[in-house]
Amino acid sequence: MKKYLTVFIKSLKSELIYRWAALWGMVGAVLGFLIQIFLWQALLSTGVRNDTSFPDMLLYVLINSFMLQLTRTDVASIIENTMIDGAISMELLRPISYKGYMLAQTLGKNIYGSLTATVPLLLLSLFFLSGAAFPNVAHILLFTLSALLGIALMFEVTYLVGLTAFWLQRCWFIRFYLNGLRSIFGGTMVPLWFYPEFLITLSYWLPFRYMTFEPINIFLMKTPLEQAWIPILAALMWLVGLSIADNLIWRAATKKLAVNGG
Amino acid sequence: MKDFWKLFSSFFTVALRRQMAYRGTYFAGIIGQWISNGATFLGIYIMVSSFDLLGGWNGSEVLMLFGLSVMSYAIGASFFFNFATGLAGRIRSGEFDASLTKPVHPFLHEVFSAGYNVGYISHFTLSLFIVIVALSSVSYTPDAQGVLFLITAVFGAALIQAAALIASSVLSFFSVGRNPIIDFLLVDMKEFTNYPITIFPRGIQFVLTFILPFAFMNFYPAAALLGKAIPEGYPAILPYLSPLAGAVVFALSILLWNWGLKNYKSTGS
Repeated sequence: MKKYLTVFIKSLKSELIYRWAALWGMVGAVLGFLIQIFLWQALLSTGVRNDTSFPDMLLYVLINSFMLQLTRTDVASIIENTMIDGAISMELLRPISYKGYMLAQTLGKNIYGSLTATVPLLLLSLFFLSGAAFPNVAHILLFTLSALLGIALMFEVTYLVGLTAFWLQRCWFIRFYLNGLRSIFGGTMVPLWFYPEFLITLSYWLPFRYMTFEPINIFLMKTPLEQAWIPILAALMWLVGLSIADNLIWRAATKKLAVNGG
Repeated sequence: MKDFWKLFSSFFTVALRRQMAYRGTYFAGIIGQWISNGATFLGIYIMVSSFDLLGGWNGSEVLMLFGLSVMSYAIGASFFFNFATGLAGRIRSGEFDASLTKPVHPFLHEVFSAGYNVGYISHFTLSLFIVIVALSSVSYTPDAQGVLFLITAVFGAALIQAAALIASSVLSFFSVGRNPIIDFLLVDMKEFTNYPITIFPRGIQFVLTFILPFAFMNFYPAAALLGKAIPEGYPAILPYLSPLAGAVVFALSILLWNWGLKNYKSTGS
């Protein structure tokens, strides 16, 4: 555990150098949040749907953007680049698991940016959240559990798909597939409750909805307490299943690995 | 002028060969971009149509906005994306200094040698499809005048996109680190134009029209085509000025680039 903590802190520190990048990230986050505020104000003012309130949507956007930013990584491209320059052979010599190393690195890299980008949004949304119903302790605990599983699941899927880099060699395009599918079936852009029926049905067969959508549903108390175990269990099952899969793939990959020079 | 085309076509062929070397990757990339941008189209459509209207525009009409934005970006970025995003790296490595010694203007040499990006065919095909579907679903009947208007508007819009890329690359002359301006202009600011600008406060409408005129890229032409209201009190001629706005900002961006070049000191590598 201590080894992973070291990786986490190292990659956090290397990120702290980019103060300007964090500042611009903040500007971008605020602009993006303003767009969402005006957009949902305009949409909700039509009065067509009354199952969603404005504070609900703000919280939805807020939690979503924080979780997405925290897990933002492109394992496929990292592997691709280390295979091209040969650094992968060094990475494999490290006395820690490659997956744990990647996870620690991802969280360390992203925690600074996602916190600095989210705090101004939180302050901004205080002006709008006065009428919001805040969840009780039980919901908050279940949300925390579900969000942690969601973060793990987001990383797991990115990692698992990223391993295909060992076979594909060139794979910068993987993130387009992943982001697209996550946006469609995970409801990271538009909450799934606005979706047509067949897409909602499809989303139950894929891991994406358990990443941010289900945790947020628990936070907004749209999922009643006695039903919260269903998405949590589903996330857990996906996590276990995919971990077994990535283990097998990893073994095959390290056998297959061919480094050209480096 | 004849030399210009000769130069362009020989650089173009080299870029094409270089990028088509990994053919499987190329096609996998195209499909990936379809899915990724398609997800945004789908999201916008689902969002707007579950509320019927957004600021007086229905789902298909709002799709026109992102459609025109992606289409003009595809054209502008084909020529200027590699150039703009690669400039910092070329300055850092010292490759850029070679452009200063060539018998053509450094800007042209940089644009040509950075190469035409063939990948944007994916953005173009998808957005063309979306624009056609969106127009036919609002039962728009195309006439020669309308098609001509749309083509010139997209051309102007492509110049705006190109100008944003060129302008953001100027920072590379002063700092070769991460370039936040590219994200600011081409991701953050442009996201406003995915929706009718009339839903935003007047200050934002003003910025998008007169300061960073991204609204000319899609909102004004689409408003003219679909007969939608433009911000209150704005001249009625605005929807027809996209080509002019494009030409002006494109020229300004090149002036800015030359100013940056004048103040550039090599990294010496």
